[in-house]
Amino acid sequence: MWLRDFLPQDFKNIRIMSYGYNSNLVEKIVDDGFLDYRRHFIQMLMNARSSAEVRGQHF
Amino acid sequence: MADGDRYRVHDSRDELDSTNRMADRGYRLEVDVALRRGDRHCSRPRNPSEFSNRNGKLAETDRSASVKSKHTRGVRGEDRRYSPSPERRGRTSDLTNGALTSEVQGRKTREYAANHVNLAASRLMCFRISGVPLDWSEDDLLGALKAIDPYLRDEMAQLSLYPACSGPTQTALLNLGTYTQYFRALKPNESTYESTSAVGKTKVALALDSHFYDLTPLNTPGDRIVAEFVIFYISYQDLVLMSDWLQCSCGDWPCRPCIWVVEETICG
Repeated sequence: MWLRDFLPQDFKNIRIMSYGYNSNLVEKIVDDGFLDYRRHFIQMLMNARSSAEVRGQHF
Repeated sequence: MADGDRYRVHDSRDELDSTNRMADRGYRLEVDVALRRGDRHCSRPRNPSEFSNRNGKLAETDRSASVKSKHTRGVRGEDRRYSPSPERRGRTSDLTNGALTSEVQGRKTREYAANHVNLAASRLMCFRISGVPLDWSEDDLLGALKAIDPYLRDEMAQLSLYPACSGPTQTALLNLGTYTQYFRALKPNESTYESTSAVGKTKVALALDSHFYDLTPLNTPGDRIVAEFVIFYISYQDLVLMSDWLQCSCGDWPCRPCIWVVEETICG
């Protein structure tokens, strides 16, 4: 299976991304908690949106 | 040569060659499981079939080879016993045609091993390649990857190239049905940086990983983005949690929770 085959092809104006995080969070090996994980995700998303605006893509 | 003939192996360096020679002649290595139980290096008794691949041969790049080397440590040559493979049992005298056929099969297996291609592990593997310049095409990237790994072939690789989520670069997804020794050696939790160049392009540093941490683009959106779709997943767990429209973080679209569970990680 190839994940791309499951993605919608008819919708051109959506952006599809994946977000992965270290599963060590579950095992509590690292100090980062899920709050930091969430903040990190939001920051990454904001960076992605800023970069898209620079490229001329509008929301 | 009769059934149950024993062969002594006096030099451990010759074990693999000796086993392959016997497999060429239609014999399969049998391991005395009872003896293994007394071996302190062995965590559990192994089925003898684990010590031979589908051709009845052992290859250095095969997973069974590593199992063999681990579990034959400390076992004397007297304990090694060869028995006819199922193909050989049905034959009376095969020193001509059968041996030649086995010899050809053995040669093919060695050729594949020499190419560092693991055919036994055909599980899909997906890698992320970041930092691809915007002016590179998929062919350019494939050529650059071949410069990194000469054993990579066109028919092995399935490439998808999308604009990076942030920054003036592209991100590629490389799907390998049959993967080479180089990609097998990549550490799962780390990124590997390779300096390479495509034909007629400047030299760049590509980042290769298989952990897919942070954001990874999965399509090329149009100029006006009306929605975002993010797939959350936990690496190394056979579980993919797919979010719905990002109402939770943006607040503009109705939130409809959905969860997809699939067999593998990012590749599906």
